[in-house]
Amino acid sequence: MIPGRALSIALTLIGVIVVVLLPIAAIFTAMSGVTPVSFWAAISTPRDLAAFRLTFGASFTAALIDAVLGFLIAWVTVRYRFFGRDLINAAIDLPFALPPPVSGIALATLYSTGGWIGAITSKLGVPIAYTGAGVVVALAFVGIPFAVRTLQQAIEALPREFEEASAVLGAGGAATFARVVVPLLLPACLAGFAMSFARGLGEYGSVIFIAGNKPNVTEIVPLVIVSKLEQYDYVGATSLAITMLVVSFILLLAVNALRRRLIERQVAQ
Amino acid sequence: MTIQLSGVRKQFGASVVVDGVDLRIPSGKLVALLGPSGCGKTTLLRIIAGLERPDAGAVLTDGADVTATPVRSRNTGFVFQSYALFPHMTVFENIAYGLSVRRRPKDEIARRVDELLALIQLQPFAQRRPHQLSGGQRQRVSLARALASEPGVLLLDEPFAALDATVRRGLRRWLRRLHQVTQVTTVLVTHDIDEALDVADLVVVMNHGVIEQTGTPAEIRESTNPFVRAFLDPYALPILEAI
Repeated sequence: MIPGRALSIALTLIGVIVVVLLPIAAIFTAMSGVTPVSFWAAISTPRDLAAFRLTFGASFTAALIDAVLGFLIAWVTVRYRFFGRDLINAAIDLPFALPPPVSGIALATLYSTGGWIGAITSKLGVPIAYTGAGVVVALAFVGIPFAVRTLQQAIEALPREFEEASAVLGAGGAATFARVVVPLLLPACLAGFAMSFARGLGEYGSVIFIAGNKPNVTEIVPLVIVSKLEQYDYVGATSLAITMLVVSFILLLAVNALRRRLIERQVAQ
Repeated sequence: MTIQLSGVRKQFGASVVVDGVDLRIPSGKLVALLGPSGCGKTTLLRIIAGLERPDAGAVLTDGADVTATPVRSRNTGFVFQSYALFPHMTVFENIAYGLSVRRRPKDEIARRVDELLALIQLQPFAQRRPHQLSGGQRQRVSLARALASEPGVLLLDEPFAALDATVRRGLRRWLRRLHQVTQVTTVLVTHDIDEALDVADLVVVMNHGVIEQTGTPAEIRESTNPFVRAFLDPYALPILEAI
């Protein structure tokens, strides 16, 4: 046990206040000139609403993709030994390390009509760059390390006996997967989803290169905030920022509560 | 169900864990695989279950070669040392699992699970989850789950190792009675010599991947085999580590 319970709690509080809460409080202090009416006016224009829809919708979709794809990548890299496994494992962290604009430009190049993937999809009538799908692609890219790392830990900690017990009891691979493996990894899946989702809500640098940023169509909320700031519309920018903050916080609280309930139902033996 | 092992060998990396084992387990008997840790007894049990494939040799049940039969098609009951109860399922769902993956009718499953809950005297606990049970209760649920689909063989891997001495003695006697009722061929892995001599019809003493001696508890007690003698004498146990 580390000594000094009171001291460590005090230091924790100071740390959280200085590093996390003060900057967030600063957003609220910028609210001084905002009235409920101007607040509502600033977040309810069609352009704002479209941006909210895109930001939350694309973040949700990307987090869903990351949770499923992350599950697969995590499972394969933890459970199987194959040539190139270490390479894949290292590559997973690249989206962490790349400066967002670099990711954004790379993705825009790859998915634009002249790019390797974009050429194929646009021929099939599904352009990706400069559409909402492009935003999802960028967000899935920056969020995937969170999902994979979270799930890898959970899979490493999952005792093999559960799968063996299921097999001895007569279950095939699909039944074992659906009835034992997935339920046991669902809390970790949700945690990975929540982290990827949160990352997506705040992502700016990589998205703006692939989104095209057409107002009402492919504009994300962070971009609207920046453009309002550039026009000295501090009330508008602050109102949007606070809305993002509150909604994101509520959504993350809800996901965490769901995850906690799942864990409490099964508590480690 | 009779189990026959012939020339079974298993190697992990450079270490030979089971080194050419021949063994016949008669139908309806309770057999203990006894030996110090690392002697290969658990691996041998896992080979019988089909959880490990032997590198050489064959496993026969009632004369049929099942060496290559996948574990899920063997209808074996297996009790893990850690119980391995599914934590997200209730006691009822755990016991029902083997029947439900075989798509038995719901009422048949409910009847069979109730029967087993009565057998392990845990009827009031049907809707509890494993983490709400004591170690001994979990062990009984694990046994009931293994017995649910009426397996031809029941395999137990150190089933009482994680329990305290009183509970262990109680469960040992209970297992003995259970075996008399079900008459299912049972193989029990243990490093506890008293447990083996107390509960088994036949004791198989293993060391370094080979069988030192097979015999009834009485024969094992009178053994002249130096390894078995050393294993029998509790004061020799510290020396045993050096063997």
